[in-house]
Amino acid sequence: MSEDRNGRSGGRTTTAPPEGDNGANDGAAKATRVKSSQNGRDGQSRQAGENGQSRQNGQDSQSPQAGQNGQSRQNGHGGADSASREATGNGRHPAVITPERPAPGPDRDGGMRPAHPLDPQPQLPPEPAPEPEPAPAVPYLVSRLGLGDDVRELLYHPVPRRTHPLDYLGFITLFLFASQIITGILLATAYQPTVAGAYGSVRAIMASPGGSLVRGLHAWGADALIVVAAMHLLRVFYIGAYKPPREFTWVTGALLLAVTIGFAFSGYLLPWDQQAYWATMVGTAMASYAPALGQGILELLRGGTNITGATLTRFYALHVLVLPALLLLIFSGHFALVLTHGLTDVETRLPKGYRAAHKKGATSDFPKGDYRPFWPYTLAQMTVGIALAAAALLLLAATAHLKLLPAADPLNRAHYQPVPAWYFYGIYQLLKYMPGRLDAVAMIGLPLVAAVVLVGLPFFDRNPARAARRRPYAMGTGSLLLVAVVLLTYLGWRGSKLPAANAATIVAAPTYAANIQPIFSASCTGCHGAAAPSGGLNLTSYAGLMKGGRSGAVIQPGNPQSSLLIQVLEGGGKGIPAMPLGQQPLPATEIQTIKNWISAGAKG
Amino acid sequence: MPRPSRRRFLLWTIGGLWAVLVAGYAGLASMFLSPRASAAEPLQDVGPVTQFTAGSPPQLVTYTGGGVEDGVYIAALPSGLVALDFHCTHLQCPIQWAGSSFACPCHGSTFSESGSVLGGPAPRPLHRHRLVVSGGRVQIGGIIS
Repeated sequence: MSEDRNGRSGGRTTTAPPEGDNGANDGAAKATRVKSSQNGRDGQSRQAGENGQSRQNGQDSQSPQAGQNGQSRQNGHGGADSASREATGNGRHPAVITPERPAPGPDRDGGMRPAHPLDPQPQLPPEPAPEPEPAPAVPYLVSRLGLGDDVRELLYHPVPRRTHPLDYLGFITLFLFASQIITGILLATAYQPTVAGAYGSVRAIMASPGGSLVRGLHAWGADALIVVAAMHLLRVFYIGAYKPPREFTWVTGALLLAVTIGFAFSGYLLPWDQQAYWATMVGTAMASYAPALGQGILELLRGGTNITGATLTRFYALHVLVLPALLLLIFSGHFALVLTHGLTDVETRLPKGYRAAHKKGATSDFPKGDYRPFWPYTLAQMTVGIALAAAALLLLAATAHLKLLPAADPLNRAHYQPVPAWYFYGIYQLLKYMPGRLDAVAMIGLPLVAAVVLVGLPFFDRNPARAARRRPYAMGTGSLLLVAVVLLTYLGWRGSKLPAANAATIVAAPTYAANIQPIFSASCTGCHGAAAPSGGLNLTSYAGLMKGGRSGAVIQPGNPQSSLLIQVLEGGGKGIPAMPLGQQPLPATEIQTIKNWISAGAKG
Repeated sequence: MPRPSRRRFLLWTIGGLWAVLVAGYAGLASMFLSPRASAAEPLQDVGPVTQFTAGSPPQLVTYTGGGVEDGVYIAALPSGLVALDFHCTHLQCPIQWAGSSFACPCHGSTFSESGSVLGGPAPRPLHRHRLVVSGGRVQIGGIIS
């Protein structure tokens, strides 16, 4: 019979028992194992796991709903959609659906179905459980494609009830990847990966509203992907989800982040405009600082010493062939591990007594029964999160139009000032604070250490606690690093936005009004204004400049190196402060322009 | 020496064949992707030698290499002509001749007329290109130092 210890009985295919008549099915249920097909689809049989109870007859399992209301579904197509689900040993895995043979008795139309020769006889002992069959939705295809178990595993994968919106960042990352693949394929149908054709084809793509939107979705999607993937990583770090048994979920995730950055970096060159060309020049040059291997890596990346058509072709192949293959490979592992180990429940919110039970041998991350199947609950929440992300991305792509600078000019005749891609701003900024001989440390050493620590984190961090408050060192170090990276990135971004009217070019024969005063106005008069000028030096006029400050004259006409102004602008030292105080130094081009002006006599 | 079992022999044979296969493809990729040695790049004519006279500032000359327009500064030093790469040796931003020295707009490195470092974070002098004077014409090749 299909009655469990709760006294609930399973539904039957034979008759529709009266509501609430839990015991009405008992006799017939001995003859057949009956299961509501509805149960097979919605994963309600988790209650078996929740209750931790076994079936009395060792073979019958039932739908809690059917059991609760005493109803069963009639199967108009035989037993194909009658199935039972049983929770597996640890209560975490979805139940298995077992097929049923139609029971003898009245059929849907009220007539009697003739007894089947294989119908079990009531007096026979319980037959062994038949092989599980696929979910009934598309039985033929699912069965023939051998997807039954996989689909069930995916749909009924248990997910903790207590989830946080930030736990869906992984799904949003996956969505963004899918969006990148779709928009990337569309762009690839029109893009020409050659020096002669690249820039023109991107311009052509952007000339149509649809093309502009697709490129916008792809370019903003790339930035969003890095941000969301980093947030996903931070969330996983915060809730300690990288700890056993999920070490390799973390490792594959960290590798996916590296691949994501590789995608962004290789894609950055493809528009072949000034920004793309010079950002790639700077970015690849960083690799040359690797000891011994640096030059080799640089030439392998570029296909030579300089950035040429060979570099463009290589980056295109990397972007559309090599990295997607790598991504698929690593993502398969990541996804399989997520399914294997499930989502992490947040330790801080576990009920009282759970930890003690866990120590006594509980194998689940969460209390038995404190989960629900992926379908439909989590899938619904995930869909809402993805819809919001899609809307935000669409809004961004539609409103924040992308710039396409002039075509790449390897001779840089227009004196474009190179800036790296935004995710390199931090390193680029750090270089400004480090002495030249430590450049290799900033460009290779620190990123390498960061990568090793990131990938190896689950193996370095042996603290078993997952709650943030019980991991002061990990949280402290992580927070400090996060603040440092964000701050350096912000400073690098701000530095890249400095007014560059004069910055890009060195003026060989400058005049005070046209070339020098604009530099002071942009960078110096905030402190050295007309009212209460700092140090008594007023830089708002030629007269003020030549008069100097409390330290005396700052200009020695004809002799830039002995002029105090040049000494402070070039970094000070030996008791002389660096100017602008607390700000980024002036571009070398501007300093050189001022030097040229002083050399020529510093005329007004 | 004990004879290996048949199973072990098979294991080593199969493993060895797989290793050869993988190494073969890796070698093929490495050979295919390795760029031509810089010094072996073909020479490009950039003008008559009389164009570069001692005492004149370094001149940026251009040519097409690898499908893009490339260039070098040619400086007429007392010791002869030198062809200087116009990328800063720090992060390869494009340098400019600034009247008395080369200056880099990115992190402020400066270089002398001969390419040696005067200031800034640049770790080494400007790279030099191969320069050949033939038949009164100046020809430029790949980076040699």
